[in-house]
Amino acid sequence: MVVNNIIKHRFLLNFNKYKYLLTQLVKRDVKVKYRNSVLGIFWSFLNPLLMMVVMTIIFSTLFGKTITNFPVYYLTGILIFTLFSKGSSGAMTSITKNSAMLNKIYIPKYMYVLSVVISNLVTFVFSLFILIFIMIATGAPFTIYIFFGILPILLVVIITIGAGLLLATLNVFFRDIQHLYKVFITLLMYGSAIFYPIDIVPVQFQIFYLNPLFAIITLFRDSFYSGIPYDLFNILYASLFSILILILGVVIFYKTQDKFILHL
Amino acid sequence: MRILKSKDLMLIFLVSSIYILIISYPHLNFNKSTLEVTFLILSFVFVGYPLIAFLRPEEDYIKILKKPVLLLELSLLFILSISLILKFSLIGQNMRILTLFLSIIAMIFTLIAYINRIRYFKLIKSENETVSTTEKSVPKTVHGKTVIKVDNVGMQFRLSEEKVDNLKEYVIKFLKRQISYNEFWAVRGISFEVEKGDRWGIIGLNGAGKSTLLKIISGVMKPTEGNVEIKGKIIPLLELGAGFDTNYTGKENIFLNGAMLGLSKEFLEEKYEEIVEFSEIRKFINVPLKNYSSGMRARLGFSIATTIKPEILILDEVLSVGDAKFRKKSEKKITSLFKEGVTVLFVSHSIIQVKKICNKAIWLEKGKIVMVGDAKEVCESYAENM
Repeated sequence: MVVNNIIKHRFLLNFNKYKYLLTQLVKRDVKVKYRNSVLGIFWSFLNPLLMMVVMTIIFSTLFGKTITNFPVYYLTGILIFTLFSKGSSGAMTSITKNSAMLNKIYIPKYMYVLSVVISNLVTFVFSLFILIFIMIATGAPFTIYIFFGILPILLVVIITIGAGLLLATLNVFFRDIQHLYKVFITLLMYGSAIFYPIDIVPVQFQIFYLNPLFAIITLFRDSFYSGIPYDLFNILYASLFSILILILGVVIFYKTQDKFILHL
Repeated sequence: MRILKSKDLMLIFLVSSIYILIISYPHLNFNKSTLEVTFLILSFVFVGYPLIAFLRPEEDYIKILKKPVLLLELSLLFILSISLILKFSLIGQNMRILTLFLSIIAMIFTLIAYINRIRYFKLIKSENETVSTTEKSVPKTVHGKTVIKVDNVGMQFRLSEEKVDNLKEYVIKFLKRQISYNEFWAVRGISFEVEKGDRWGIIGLNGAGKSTLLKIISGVMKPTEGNVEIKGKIIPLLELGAGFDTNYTGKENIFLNGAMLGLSKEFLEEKYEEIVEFSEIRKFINVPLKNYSSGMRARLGFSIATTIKPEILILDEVLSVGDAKFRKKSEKKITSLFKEGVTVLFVSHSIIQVKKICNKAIWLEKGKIVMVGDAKEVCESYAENM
């Protein structure tokens, strides 16, 4: 009886009805991004590759030999970070961008947020091939722990959806968030140890470890870069933080979504 | 019967999860024994509360909080049994892991208690409902099938004097207590029932609340009071081609637009040929929409909306699409839809059109119903009053 109740729940019925819309929106996001460019979808491979080359040239001269295999170290960090930053800032503007449509017909509003995050996940999966290619090229060790990398990816998707819902709600009521968030993202990037070793951070800036994204990146590096199992408390911290953000985002989005239309 | 909203359980859930976050934080210095003991005692309390909430779902949360002795007793009992089972020594290395374990259990308990409470109240509610329905008489709709039921719907807008949409202004205004709203009802106290196959005209002056009413019925807006019940697929023809992506080709847009109307892939693939055929743009179907003329776009939009067999069609003065030839074709299409028994809501300023198309009409003025009834009667008295 309980199972039947869950299946017939209003939310799931609605999601089932509109799941084709979700695939369509994701397809559109991916297609339109590279339409009219000659190389098309290949840019999702090329972009991280070129950025990595630039960063390697700059930072391996700066930090010398403090980081072994800098390309893999950088890529593991930047891929996760890009998924979060692109996903959350895209989701932030997704509701206001599609206001024309939302004013005309009923569409579940979270579909737009979800589609932006998923389309960024698709790009992420493409660039994951680059990471593996680079790992082979630089002779990085492959261990069984590489399969553990699934969990941090799942966590970053969860936290991106949560943050996206939260930001989209805020952005409907206060458009300033867009500009504020750009600054915040830059701060977050420097606080996530993407292109420098963790050891160079002075002890008094321990607060920097509070960054949940850093925890996720560390988990991802554990499986792809170092080839060791996760730290128990690290995984707990990252997953709880992500789930909390998701719950917060969903609750706030659902409570206020009926008022969106008055502000679009 | 007052229904608990389980705010207490949500609070416990939130607090205990933040609490786990703190404990699990990898760089926390967790050596001072006083800190450890405080953490442990706190987690006892977290476990106890949902346990009581689970055992007594009917209890009000304030009442539970008034029984701290029971709460502590239960928690301690639980903790002791757990430590006996796991053979943990409570003080020492295992403290942190135990605390963590307890808090996670607290979270799980909270969820179980929450589900249990919802189930309990649903049971009571359904019992109450079965009583009340037997008391009341049978619903009065005898003839036909009601597809739209609008029940005492009202929509209130808050017009702020100036539009404040940035944070700085809002904070300044808030601190100065300058935020004031003009509250006004766009529509209020509207109720009517639409039966299958009815064609309703909605007439009234500009600003009478016609568009707001349509938006409420199509689900875009949620009414401030009252509610709307709908049975069937509702397709708005509000503005043709509003959901088109100009970078997309015609074919891609058919699928995107169809998906936005809540249709499945299989259904669209089945109807695709018919849509292309009717819109007469087969030659350009693989061309991006930005190269279309506005007439072509409108034709495509019209074809999608009418080919997919809507059950309820919302028309907002869009019967004139494209050139004379296509207009004739589209009018034919719409009359054929009427014959198939599609329900129509039609907004127009033209009384002649309303008389021609509709069999029932509503006359709105300043958000209130002036007259409901037969289309001819309503139109005539509306024309007299103009």
